[in-house]
Amino acid sequence: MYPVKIIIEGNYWDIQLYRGRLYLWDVNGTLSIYQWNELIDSLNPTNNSAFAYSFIDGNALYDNKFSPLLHDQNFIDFFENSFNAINSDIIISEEQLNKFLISKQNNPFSELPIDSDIYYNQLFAALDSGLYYINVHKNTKKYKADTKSKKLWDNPIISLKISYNGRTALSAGDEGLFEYRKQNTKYTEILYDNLEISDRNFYRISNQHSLFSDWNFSSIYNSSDIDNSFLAIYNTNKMTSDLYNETNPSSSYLGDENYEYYSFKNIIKFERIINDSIIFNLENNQFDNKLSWGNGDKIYKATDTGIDVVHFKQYNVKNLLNKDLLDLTDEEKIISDLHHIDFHPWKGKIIAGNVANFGTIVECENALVVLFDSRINNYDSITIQGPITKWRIYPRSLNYKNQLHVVLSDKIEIYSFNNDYFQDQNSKKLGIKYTHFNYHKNS
Amino acid sequence: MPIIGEQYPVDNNIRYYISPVHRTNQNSDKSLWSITTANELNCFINTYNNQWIINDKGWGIIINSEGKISILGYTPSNENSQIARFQGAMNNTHWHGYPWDRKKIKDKPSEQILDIWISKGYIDKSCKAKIRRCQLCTL
Repeated sequence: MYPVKIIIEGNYWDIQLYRGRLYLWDVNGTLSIYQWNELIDSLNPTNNSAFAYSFIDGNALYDNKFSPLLHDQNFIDFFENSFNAINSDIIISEEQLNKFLISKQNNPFSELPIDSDIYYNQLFAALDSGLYYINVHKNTKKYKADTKSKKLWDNPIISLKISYNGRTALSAGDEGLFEYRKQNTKYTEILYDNLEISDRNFYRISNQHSLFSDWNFSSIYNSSDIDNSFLAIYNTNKMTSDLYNETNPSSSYLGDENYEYYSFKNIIKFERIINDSIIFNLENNQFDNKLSWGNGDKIYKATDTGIDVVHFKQYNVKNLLNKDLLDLTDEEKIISDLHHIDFHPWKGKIIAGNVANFGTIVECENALVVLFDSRINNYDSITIQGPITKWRIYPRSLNYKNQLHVVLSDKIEIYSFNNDYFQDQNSKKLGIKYTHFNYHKNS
Repeated sequence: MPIIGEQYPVDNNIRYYISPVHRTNQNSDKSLWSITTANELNCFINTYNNQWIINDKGWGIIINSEGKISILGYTPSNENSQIARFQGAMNNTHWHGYPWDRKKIKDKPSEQILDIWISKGYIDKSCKAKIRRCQLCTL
């Protein structure tokens, strides 16, 4: 099943989609904000449910309620036919788009963002001059986002990614990989005492080159095409309330006053770094100049003949506390199931990659390639011709995890992939395994 | 032909130094010029005349006869480099330069300079984005 596509005409720099609002920066820095759901509804006058799921609620079909239907061949055929029947040549002109404009303002940052991410109504931007943020999703009359940004750090950054629980990984080229300290919550505490502090609230995880990074659960995968990529492993220790003396005696469950409520807290702590040469069993642990990247339960590495993929098991990290990596049994391993997927030719050298639920995205010098599991073939792919200015996925979003946004020379292409609902999440190779807890709330 | 290790006048009190550090491979962490010293000097003169300079940092490119941006050196990672990075000293009266190594985040061209190059048609929006992200990009 191929993706559904919407095209927005115009000369843009970047895009974000968050809580029903579309944020677009044009090349001059003007930030325009649009009502996304209303825009999609305007393109769907016949109320085609597949179209609505494609662009408004990409999470819905993952719901357990649909599980019996997703094993019913009649339903699968119906839904696949519905998605395939959607007209994929939908083009939105600037005039059409402006009908849904709710805010237009000058760039709140001093530069065009190099990268950005949104968490709990705050948009964080990576700039040459450092890390900044603005409040978004405002309901003030004129501007729906702050008009002036606030500075958090003055180290230049080239990529940032925020995890499902608000932790921020920052890639700073030859300066290394950093984490921006997140405030502890009732349920999560992060220990930074074994990391080098760079600045207040900023901790250096490694001084190895960092081009970009992303989250494998509590751990961070750092990608570089100049040095070894690596996995920065964090251990999550779940502590129940009898261990940290927090109880909630006033709570009751279903009116049972005798019910004892045990809360828990996740204690997260950095453990160690493992280079990709070890993850992918390369000879002599050498750096081979091939990019690797990770997200969720998957880590990928580009090869001359395709890509290699391994599964990462965050729940087995605790086994590393008592054993060396090579001494772990098959059940204890944190990295397993190495597979190779043939794909050629790549459209130039591979310069970036990431993983969504629907598949893995590979950025080559001249094009973007999306590889995804297929019920019919072993896998399938689409190629999006460049030049590519920016592309974005939303793997931790509540509503948009099935979307890929691509900023091109004179348009934005918005792809909705709807193949993943029908895949066996445990056995699929291309794409993050869907679980119910790997998303940003309210996004 | 300008001599390695010598300084050459560019303007009233502006001088350019042909640094030996980026001409020999004694330092494995330094980028190296692949163009002649004359072309290196001319590249800086072009940067200076166009004022592709922000404070004490400058950046330059060489447009060949076919209108394409030339390779002017290579990085310690053996990648081709098409952007020169110039550094000013002594109140920006003395300059030297080297091929930009995209590994070095603080050396990358500023957004202002990239916008000038876009306005002149030397690079496009996609290249600007890749340069700012320190990604590999053939100009």
